[in-house]
Amino acid sequence: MAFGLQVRNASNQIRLDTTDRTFRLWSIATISTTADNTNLTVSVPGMRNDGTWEVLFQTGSTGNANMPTISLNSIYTNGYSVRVTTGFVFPAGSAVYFYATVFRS
Amino acid sequence: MSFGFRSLNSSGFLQIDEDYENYALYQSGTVTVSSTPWFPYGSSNYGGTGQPGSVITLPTGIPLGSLMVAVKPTTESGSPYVRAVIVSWNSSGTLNSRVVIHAKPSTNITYKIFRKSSFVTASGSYGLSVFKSNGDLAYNSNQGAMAIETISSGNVNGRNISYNISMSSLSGKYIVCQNIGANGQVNVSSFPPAFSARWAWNAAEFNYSTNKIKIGLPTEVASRLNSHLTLGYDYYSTPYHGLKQVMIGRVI
Repeated sequence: MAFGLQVRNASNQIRLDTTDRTFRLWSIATISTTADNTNLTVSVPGMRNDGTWEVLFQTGSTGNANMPTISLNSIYTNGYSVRVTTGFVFPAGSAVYFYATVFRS
Repeated sequence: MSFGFRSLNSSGFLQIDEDYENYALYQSGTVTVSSTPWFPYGSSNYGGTGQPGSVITLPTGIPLGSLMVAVKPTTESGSPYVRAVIVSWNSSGTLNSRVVIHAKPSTNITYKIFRKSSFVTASGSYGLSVFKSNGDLAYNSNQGAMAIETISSGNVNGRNISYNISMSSLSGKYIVCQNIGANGQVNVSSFPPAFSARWAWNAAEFNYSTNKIKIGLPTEVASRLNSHLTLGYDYYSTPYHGLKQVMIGRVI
């Protein structure tokens, strides 16, 4: 190998190679809204739109007749923006929740 | 970081850092979804989500928002599609997590669930461990991990719009597609929408002949939906569509 880290297990199999690109947890945020079609911004110091950042969403709301959805609008310097569509939430006016996990690879 | 351990790969991407925890393989398995195809209309099917799916219930107590799921068709042939998301919620102090997988009817799907290294038991008595300054495990070479090959994004602004990701090979490739969301819903005009809607989910369609992954409404579902809508009884509404970002890689 030219440079970098290579780790092998007891069977001499490569567990991590010099070309592997792993990812790490950066932060987790809770996003909630009661308003349909809402744009929200989340501050993440250090974040950049350089292709090494990923935001993954998990739905945190239950009991809805229809699933709320969330979309990533953009990643920018020190944060990202999302759009939340609440759908037909029961009871009317209740909040929908998402958990947004930021990774960096 | 002012001291400690850091590893960069040959392209300059950070592999291991003592400040941040890597994600490690926590649980894996295979599910087979129903043989019932997605159908946009049916007298006994109002309110259904449509596409066949499976639910994996995880142990309680997992911190909300801390999981990631990667999936692939178990059999690497044809053009199967899959979608996998995580639902997690706090119910009177109990933290619940489920993985929901929708896929082409009768398809076997292999799933890999990841969480922070410090929550995953590592086997083996030697190798490399890196700890954070607070003592939490940041990386252990005996844990499974996902090696990212590409992060891709595109807009899917309707039932006939998708984007493709070309790979040199799809063999052994997993996708993290928690963000691709719903494409839209079929609404029966004469009923209240809350009781007549049927979701059509976006999915990752693996084409093992062309080595491409299509992000959007699966071809089979789009065909069925478009045929149905030409009848004119129902209408199709689409939620707001933003970037549909996915990660593709190998499990190492």
